[in-house]
Amino acid sequence: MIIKNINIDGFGVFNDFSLDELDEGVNVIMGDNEAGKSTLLKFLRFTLFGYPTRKYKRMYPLNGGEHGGRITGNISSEQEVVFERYEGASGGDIKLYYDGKESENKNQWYQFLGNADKELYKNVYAFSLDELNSLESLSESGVEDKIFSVGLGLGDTSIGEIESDITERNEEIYKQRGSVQKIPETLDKIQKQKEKISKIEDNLPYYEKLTSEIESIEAEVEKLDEKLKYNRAEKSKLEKSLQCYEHYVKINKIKEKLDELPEAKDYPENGISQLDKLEEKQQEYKEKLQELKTGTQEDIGIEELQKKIDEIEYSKKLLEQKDKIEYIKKNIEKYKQTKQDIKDDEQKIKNIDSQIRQELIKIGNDWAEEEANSFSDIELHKSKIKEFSDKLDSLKEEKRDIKADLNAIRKQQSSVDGKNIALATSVIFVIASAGAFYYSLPVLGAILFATAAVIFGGRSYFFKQDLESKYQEQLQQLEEQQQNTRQDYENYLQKLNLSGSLSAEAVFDIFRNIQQVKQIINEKEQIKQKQEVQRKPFVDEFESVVQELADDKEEIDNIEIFVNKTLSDFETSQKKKQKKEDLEKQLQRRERELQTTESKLENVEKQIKQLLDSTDVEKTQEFRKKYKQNEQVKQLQEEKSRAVETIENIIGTGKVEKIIGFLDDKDKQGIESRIVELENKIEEKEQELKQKNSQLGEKKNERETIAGESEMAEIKTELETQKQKLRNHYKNWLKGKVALKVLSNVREKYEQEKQPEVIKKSSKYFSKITEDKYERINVSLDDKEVTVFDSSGKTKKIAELSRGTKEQLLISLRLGFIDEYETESEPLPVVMDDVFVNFDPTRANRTAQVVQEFSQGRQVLIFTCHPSTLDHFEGGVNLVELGG
Amino acid sequence: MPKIKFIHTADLHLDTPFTGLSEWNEDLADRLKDATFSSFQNIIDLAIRENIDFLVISGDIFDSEDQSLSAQRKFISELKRLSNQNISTYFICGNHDPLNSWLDSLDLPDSVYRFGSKLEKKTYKKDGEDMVDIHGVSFANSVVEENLAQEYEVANDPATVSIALLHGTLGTSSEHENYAPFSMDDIAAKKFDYWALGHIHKKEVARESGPAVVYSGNPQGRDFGETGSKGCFLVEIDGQNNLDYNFKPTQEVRFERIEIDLSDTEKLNDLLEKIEQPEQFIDNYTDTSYMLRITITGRTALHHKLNQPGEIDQLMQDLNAGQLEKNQFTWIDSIKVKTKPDIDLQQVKKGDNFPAEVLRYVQDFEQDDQKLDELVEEVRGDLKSSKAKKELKKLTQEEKQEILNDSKMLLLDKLLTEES
Repeated sequence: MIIKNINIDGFGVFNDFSLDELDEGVNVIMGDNEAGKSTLLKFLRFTLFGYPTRKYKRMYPLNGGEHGGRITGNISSEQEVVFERYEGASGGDIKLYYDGKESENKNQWYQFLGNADKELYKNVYAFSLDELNSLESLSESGVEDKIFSVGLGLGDTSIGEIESDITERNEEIYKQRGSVQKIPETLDKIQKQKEKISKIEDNLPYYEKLTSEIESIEAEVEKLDEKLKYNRAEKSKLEKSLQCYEHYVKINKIKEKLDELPEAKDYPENGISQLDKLEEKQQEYKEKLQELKTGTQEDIGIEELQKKIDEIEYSKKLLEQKDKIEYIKKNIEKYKQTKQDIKDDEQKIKNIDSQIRQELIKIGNDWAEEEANSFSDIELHKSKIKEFSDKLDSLKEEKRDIKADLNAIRKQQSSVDGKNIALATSVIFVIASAGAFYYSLPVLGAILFATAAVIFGGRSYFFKQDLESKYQEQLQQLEEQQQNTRQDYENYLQKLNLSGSLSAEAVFDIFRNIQQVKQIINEKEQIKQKQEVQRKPFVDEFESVVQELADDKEEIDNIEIFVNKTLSDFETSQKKKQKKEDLEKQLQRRERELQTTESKLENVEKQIKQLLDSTDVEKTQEFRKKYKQNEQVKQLQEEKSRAVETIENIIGTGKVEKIIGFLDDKDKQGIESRIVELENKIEEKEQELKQKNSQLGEKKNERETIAGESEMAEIKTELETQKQKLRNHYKNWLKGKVALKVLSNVREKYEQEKQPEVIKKSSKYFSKITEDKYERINVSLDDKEVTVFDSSGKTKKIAELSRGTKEQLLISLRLGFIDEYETESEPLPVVMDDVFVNFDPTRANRTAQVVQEFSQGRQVLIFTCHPSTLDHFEGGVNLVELGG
Repeated sequence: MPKIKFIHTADLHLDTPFTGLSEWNEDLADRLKDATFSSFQNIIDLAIRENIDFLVISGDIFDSEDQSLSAQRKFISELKRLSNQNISTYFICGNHDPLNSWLDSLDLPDSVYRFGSKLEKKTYKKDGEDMVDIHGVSFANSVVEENLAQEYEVANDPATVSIALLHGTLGTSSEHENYAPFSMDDIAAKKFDYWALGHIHKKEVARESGPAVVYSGNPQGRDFGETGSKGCFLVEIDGQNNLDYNFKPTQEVRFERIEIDLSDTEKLNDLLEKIEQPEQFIDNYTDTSYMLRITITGRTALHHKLNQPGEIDQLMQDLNAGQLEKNQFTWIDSIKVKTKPDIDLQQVKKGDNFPAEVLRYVQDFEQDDQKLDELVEEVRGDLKSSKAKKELKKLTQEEKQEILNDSKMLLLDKLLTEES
């Protein structure tokens, strides 16, 4: 490829920079120091082959612009290619323009670069003075290597260095007969682990051995234990039997005593005291019974009480008539008063009777009380009498009048009669009307009076005729009438058992008397009635009640006395009854008490009987004797069982018979000496057991220690790890070995296939540069040594060359390599950075000539700050000034 | 019928070492040494917690070759804990702990039954009822070539449930198989309810039911070949005779290999961040301690840096610092750098220069195992130490390829160094 233009957006010092005048052949790019020659070289490399991984090497733009740019060139087919690359990951972002279009095929990029890579380009195509200068500081073999590597197209990468690096690395892993390398070191560790493991592995059989030893000791210990146990048991038994001895003796003594006594019976508990108590109670109840019957100082007995009760008598009948008693009690005073009242009234009646008799006498001798009393209608009689009297009076008067009239008639006679009659009639009427008035009938009275008045008026008319005769006649008649009336009057009186001779006034007096009598009688009757109706019935009732109270036959002489007596009797009876009832209650209580006590006594006696029955005796005395004996037996038995219990406490239950049997057969001394014998045996065995146990402990400890140390995992893990490490080392070592082998094989092949041409071409250039001073370069395949042959055929090793010559050799080798390399690939621009500095003018001119020839059909860019560089060329050089 | 609950475990390999660790570290060893015991203790704890009826162990309780006294003693002491809770144990012996390797002096606790070298049946009773027939046979010696599975038959008058304990290899029974080989056909037709298998350390439910055929796997992984969650199976048979089993993790430390792709990663911190979140890279992540083996892959600019001597060691040291003081640690055993440089190797290969030659040259070996064998054999010859030779087992083809690749990367790293 021939670069035509370089356009930089931003890169290092460059900003929007372009280089346009580049062309085929030699281009001398002239610039002062720091004009950016090296930067431009890097731009070329980075743009074509990618930015370095390490960012600080990427040459960031110092003056702005996007980091990157384009290179435009023509490839061998004359077609224009633009390589554009901006800084970014994986070498940067690329764009390839081919034939005016952006190419999608990124592989073309590398094709256009002849498949060269960054390293190749850097090492072979684009070399600087710096690089050449570095030759100075390298060791001789290093220089050789460098040259050799260049010959192989490796630039400054030295195969030899690689080989020695790898060898050195491998020798850290393994070196024959070495002992500090990784493999022997690891082997050592493996060995140590194996030893440890084998030691632990030995533990297993040893563990088994220890286990079987432990088991056998354990068996012995068990046997010893057994024997010891037996001996101790015997000793303990004997010691205990000694402890039991006195009790054993005691038991035997008790047995003897018991043999003489009856067998113990199971009598009631506390029989004696029970009996005592029962008997005491029995006595107590008996006394109580006696007391109840006969009494004490404080209380009277039942018998006497009964007697007392029997002695108390009272009238039940009387008490039954309580109502009546209460009646008489309530009414006795009233009775007494009534009696007195009756007596008083009887006296009154007597007085009234005598009064009546006196009054009767006034009426008439023959008048009886009844007559007077039954005399009724006095007013009628009175009026009748009056009528008679009036009539007689009137008749008398009439007679007198008539007589007077007759006399008068004799002088005058006529009207007198009429007047009399009229007068009489009017008197009647007046009386009648007076009566009517009296009887509050004033109207009737008025009427009667009026009538009388009328009658009077009409009468006067009749008395004028025949007066004398009439008078006479009338007188006669009057006489007669007088007579008759007199008679009638008398009769009347007589009918009234009154003397007819009595005047009306006398009769009226009698009548008053009668009325007086009647009044007295009435009084008497009233008294009598009171007596009869009130007093006498009460008295009768009272007396009949009293009579009822009295015994039928009894005659009551004096009611009052009787009543008083009866009342007092009643009270006494009541009191007696109360007393009797009280006593009866008392008696009942006593009797109940008696009954209770009797039943208690019976019960106590029953118990006593039971107690006695329980021991088959009938008397308490026997009971006491028998019971006491039984108690003794029991006590002995208890003593015996206490002794047995003591023995049991010593030797355990259920073994008493055995120990007694044992002691029956043994004597005390024998036992004691046997104990001593056993003690010795036990001590001996204990000692032995102690030994065995300590042995056992030791072995067990040892076994546990072994077991504890028997964990394999860690040790084996280390072993396995070391083995793995060994393997890893081995693989790592093999890796180096393979690498070395590959390297050596490839180089051999490469040397054979490529070197001859590379060397041939390089020789040609070297010969030209040195004016045939050196004809040929040779690189030994075996020892990798580069030698140069001068015209006389003499060989020189690199070390023997001057610095300039060494550099010329290096340039020759590179040019040769490029020649050879590019036979098959697209030529790439070759960059030389101030390569002529150390050359003498002749060699410099020749080198320039060689470069110029080499640049035919290629492009060579010579970077320099020395304007003299141009002098080495004979024209035909494109000068490009940088930063000019 | 009462419920039945039992635990199936196998391949305890008590007190056996962890193998293949890259670096020896005493603190780590301290955390790991009891892991096999602890995971067994975890099983016993689970058994007690779940109040199971019995525990079955399908062989390989310890490794006879390890001659570990502790293994047997601690096994017994753990079983005593079960026995104290009236939980029975039935176990068979496998190729690693054949009958003849058991200590004579060991007394099995009550309620622990070890099957003999003849097929036997033990019946587990519950509430006086014959509940479970447990059939089993122990390896008498470390090699049993015959097909033991064929002999198993359910009893004539079987209990409600029949379980078979078998230690052996399920699969195509190859003639050279030393460990009681059998095939699924041998056992599938038999009327057992559950085949409690041992020997294969990777847990596997080979058949889900009728019968269930289960390898419990070992309860604690011991190298980076035994990755994944490790534990036991809790089997429950309900009143209707339905069988249900669930895996229960018991391991103390889990081994995992993880691969971290660093493509497009430029910063070391990104790598650290990724490593510090291992759950992203682990299937069925469980909360436990981890031993990690990390492979870093991908084309990355970090390639060169990671390949610098001591770089990875430093990284690991930083990551592991303080881990072992944690209750649950994550320990990086190794970090394999399988990254590729941030260059296109294919591109390099196409070139005409030396690195291209190297790549093309190596390719021949990559494609031809025999050639590779010869190459390795040739360079191996330089190892003269007979001790080392004795200790080193043959390399696998995989390892050889790895070595070849590592060599290639080593060379490329050196040949294609960056500008200085």
